[in-house]
Amino acid sequence: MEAHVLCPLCWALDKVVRRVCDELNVPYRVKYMATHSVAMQEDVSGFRTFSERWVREHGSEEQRKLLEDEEFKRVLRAVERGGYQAFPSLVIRWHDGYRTREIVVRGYDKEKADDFARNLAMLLYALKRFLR
Amino acid sequence: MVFTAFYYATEAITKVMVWIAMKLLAPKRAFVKERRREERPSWGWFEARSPYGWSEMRWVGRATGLQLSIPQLPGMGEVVRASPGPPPVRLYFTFTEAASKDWFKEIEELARRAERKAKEKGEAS
Repeated sequence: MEAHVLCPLCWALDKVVRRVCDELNVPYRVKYMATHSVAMQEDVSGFRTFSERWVREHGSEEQRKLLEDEEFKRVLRAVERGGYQAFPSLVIRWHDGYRTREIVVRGYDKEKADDFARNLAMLLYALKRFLR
Repeated sequence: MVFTAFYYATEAITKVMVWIAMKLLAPKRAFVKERRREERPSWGWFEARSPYGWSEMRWVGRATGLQLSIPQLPGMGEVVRASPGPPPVRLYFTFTEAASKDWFKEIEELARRAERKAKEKGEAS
């Protein structure tokens, strides 16, 4: 997990993920990063922020529709120019023998924590079975 | 005068006796020359055998007592430079998407899309 030291959402997500990983015996570590730090294996520090390019390439249709809004675009550009990072971002990383594969989950919602924990446990369990 | 002559005579006789005792009566010992030692380097690279059995190259430091062992791997003629490999494949989700029931469907769809993109670029996925 990429987290910030002064981020209460990160503390809450840390508890959830740590519980799941302890039960499944999956290696888990927290990487504390500064706001302008360069993320691991990234060419540009602002890559993991929601940028215009990211929305065009990876975003859903709703997000693409939002791109037509001028205000939304302005906020996105400001975020991109500042190089701000979104915390917390959970990176599930594994190697399938040929290349590294990553699933990045950003943000935290207290109400949906249980659903997320169940989903995460299912995913990690499946990955463990698959990679063995 | 008499006493002096007697003294010198006694001294001479004693010296002769000591000389006889030292040179003639004492067992002769051969003069041993120091043999030249074989020159062995005390520092540098040495080929040694590790306690586990395999041979290894060992660096012994010159000024310090540093000992560094590098095992000789069998069947490894050339050191192959590590390549960085293909770039990682990333899938991005928000927390709400990850908590929804259809998360796995989305993962499958995104993975399929990423594979299609990689094929278009000409990379093997």
